[in-house]
Formats: sequence, C-alpha cells, structure tokens
Amino acid sequence: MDGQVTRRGLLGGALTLATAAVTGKMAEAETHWPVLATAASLRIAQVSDFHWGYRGDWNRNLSSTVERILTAVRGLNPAPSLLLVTGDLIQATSDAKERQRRLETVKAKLEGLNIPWLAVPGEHDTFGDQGQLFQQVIGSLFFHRAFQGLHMIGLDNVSRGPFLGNKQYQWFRSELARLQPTDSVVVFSHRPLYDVFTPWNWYTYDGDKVYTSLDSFNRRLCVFGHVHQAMSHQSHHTANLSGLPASWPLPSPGPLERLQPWPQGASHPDMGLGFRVIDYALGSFTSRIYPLTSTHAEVELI
Amino acid sequence: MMGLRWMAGTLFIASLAWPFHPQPKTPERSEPRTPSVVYGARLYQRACLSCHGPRGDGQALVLLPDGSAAPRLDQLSPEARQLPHLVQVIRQGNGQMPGWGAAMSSVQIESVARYVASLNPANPSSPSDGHSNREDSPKDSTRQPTPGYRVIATKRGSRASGG
Repeated sequence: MDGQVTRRGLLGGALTLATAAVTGKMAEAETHWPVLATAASLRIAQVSDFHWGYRGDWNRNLSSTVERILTAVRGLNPAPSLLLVTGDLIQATSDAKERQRRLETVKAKLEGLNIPWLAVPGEHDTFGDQGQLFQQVIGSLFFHRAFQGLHMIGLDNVSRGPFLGNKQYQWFRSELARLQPTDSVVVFSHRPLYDVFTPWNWYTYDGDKVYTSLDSFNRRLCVFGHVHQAMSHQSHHTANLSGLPASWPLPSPGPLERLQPWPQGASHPDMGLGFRVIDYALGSFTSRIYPLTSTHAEVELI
Repeated sequence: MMGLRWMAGTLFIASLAWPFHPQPKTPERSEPRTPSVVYGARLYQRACLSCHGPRGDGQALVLLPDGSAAPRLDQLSPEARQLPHLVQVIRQGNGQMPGWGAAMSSVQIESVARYVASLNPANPSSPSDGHSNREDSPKDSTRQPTPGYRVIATKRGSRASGG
C-alpha cells in the first residue's frame, strides 16, 4: 500500500487541508508563503479615553475604573493579540512634569498587560506641547505597523488642531501606495474621521481625504475614541467604530447645545464605561462592546 | 444554439436597461477661487464655531482641554481686526489656537479672516446707546473689547472639553 493513493487517504488529506485552512493552522505552518501571512483570525481590544489624572465628579475613582477595564481586557478569552488605545490617555495639564508623570504611569499599566499595544494621541495628551512629551514617552504621533498581516495605521488629528494637515496626509497616501488593494487596513485616530457632530469638535476637518484614499481597499475599518460612547456607523462606504470610554460617558449629540458630562451616578457608577473588541476572521470584521455594567458582550456586525 | 440565442437576448435586454439605473452621485462642491465673506462663514461653521461660539461671541459649545474657553471674536481691537493680522493668526495659530495653514488653503484662510473681520462693526455701538441689539447685560465683564488675540480665556466652571 505504500506510495499508493487510496480513496480514504485522499478524502482524509482533503479534509485535513480544509480544516487547516479554516482554522489558520496552515497560515502558521507556512509563514514563508506571503499569501498566507495574514492570520486567519485576530482579536483586537480597543480601550480609550483614560483621562488619567482627572479628579472630579465625572468619575470619582478614575484609577479604579481604568484598572478594572484593563483587568477585564487581560481576562478575555480568547486573549487579544493587540491592544489599540485611541487617545486621551491622560487628562490635560499645563504642568509638563505632571504630564510626563501621567503618561509614564499609563505606559507602565499598558506594558503590564503583556499584550502588544499601539496608541494614538488625544488632544489632552498633546495639550501644551503639541505632542512632544507624548512622542518621548509613548511613541510617534502617527505611524504604520504591519501586524500579522493587518495594516494598522495610527493618525494624529489632535496635536496641531482637528485635522491631519497636508504633510501627514501626504505621508498617509505614500504609505497606502505601498499596499495592495487586497490588503486589510485598520485606520485609528482619536477624533472621528467623519462628521459625527462638528459643533462639539467631533470630526476631522480634512477627514474626507482619508476615506477617498482608502477607497481602493476592500477590507478597511476606521476606529476612533473622543466621543466617550460606543458608535458604529457607515460613512464614505467605510465602517467606523468608536470604543467605550474608561473615564466617563458623554451625551449623544442633539438634545444639548453645549457639551457637558453629568456627575457620576451613585447607583450606576459604571454606566457607559467599558471597552470594545474587534475580531478579524476570514477577511471580515466583527465587533463586540464590553460594558463594565454587564458580564455579557453586546455583538455588532459591521 | 437555442441557448446561445437566449443568452444573447438576455444580454441585449440587460444592456438596454443599464443606462436607466444610474448610480446616485454626490454633487461635488467646488472650492471658490477668490476669498469671500460668504465662503468664510461656511468655513467658520465647520472649523471655528465650536470654540468661538456660533456668533463669534465666545459662547463656546466646547471648552479647551484645560477647561478654558477661546476668546470672543466680535469685539476685536482695531488693530486685531485688520485683515493681514487675522490672516496671520489663522494661518499660524496662537497659543491654543490651531495653525490652520496646515490644513486650509490661502483662499480659505483669507475667507475666514474676512468673515471674522465682518463680525466687528467699523464703529461699534456701545451697549448703553440704545442701538445695541444684544441681549446681554452691559455689566457682563466678559463683554470688554478684546485688544488682541492673545487675550485668552477665562476658566469656566467644569464644563467638558470635548472628550
């Protein structure tokens, strides 16, 4: 029988190959083959708006909230392969030493998770120095990282104003020019790239150009923070997701003229707080919200 | 042979139907080539309103990250309301004011400058002369003329700063 191809052997081999392709084992085994370099599945956790250093009624025990959220992220099963931090790691302060102390504290907490992480700045992180300390402590204000076949592009739409600016946009375009249309791209920033609500600065002045540049990519996703609430929205034929905050919730645009949070409730102190998980499998994204108030995730299809 | 005829017929009908189902197209808004107050007003709504207020009177809808508010733009000093000065401030920024030169064209910047200048009447009437149409109290201390853009912001309670 040696060397002979039997019907049973052929069927078994085909079944093994199909199973391996679906579960991604083949991708792991054949990493030298570029086509299969993308992981079959990948879990990304998004945390946002820590505002570390804040003291006040919007969150009376902010450090505890942040700790509990990071603990919940660490306890995810399956564990996330990557952690995205979409800005406002710290509460703004004009004291440069205190700003550095806060950034270093948050960095130490993120490092303690033992999960690879990427962070973009929020306007609180770059307040006072246009992001110089953020670059020293955390890293570049905007960047492109290939992570297990996914192209993660972090943008800075805060340090100089609510825009990317021409220089960053040219850099963004040049990075995209190196990719293939079949590549999967995740663009993440602090402010939303589309107009959520311009009177509250929930937008990026030149965000339209980002979507235009992304048009040729079939698998694309934009992720943001800043709005302190979970949003899932299709804009410019692109899915946009915002994560739950780790600090305090903000109202939805509309009923209020001025943006104003409410004091943390005594009976529901965790209302509106949590994080988001994005699963990437077989070329598509699925998202779940993990509120601190619930033990169950809320699933969104995007 | 029959199958080929059916296929050809189907393709022919489909080709006839094609032009009658055009995809909706978003009309493109062309950018004006010359600066204008009207264009500036449109840009102000998008870029400036949240911090300086819908009427440029400093009634911000969002506070800055440190809890301060951007200054009012409707009571600038005669020097501060000069077009070249406004263009320079908008282009380069000042303090917490972003330098919009990184994202706006020269036409856009000058349009915004013209609009901001238009918020300041040439001969501002005082609130007590009976011709003012303002609803504010004359005793409002924030209504003092702003001598220049550097006069920024008073701390205002604990309003949010945009998240």
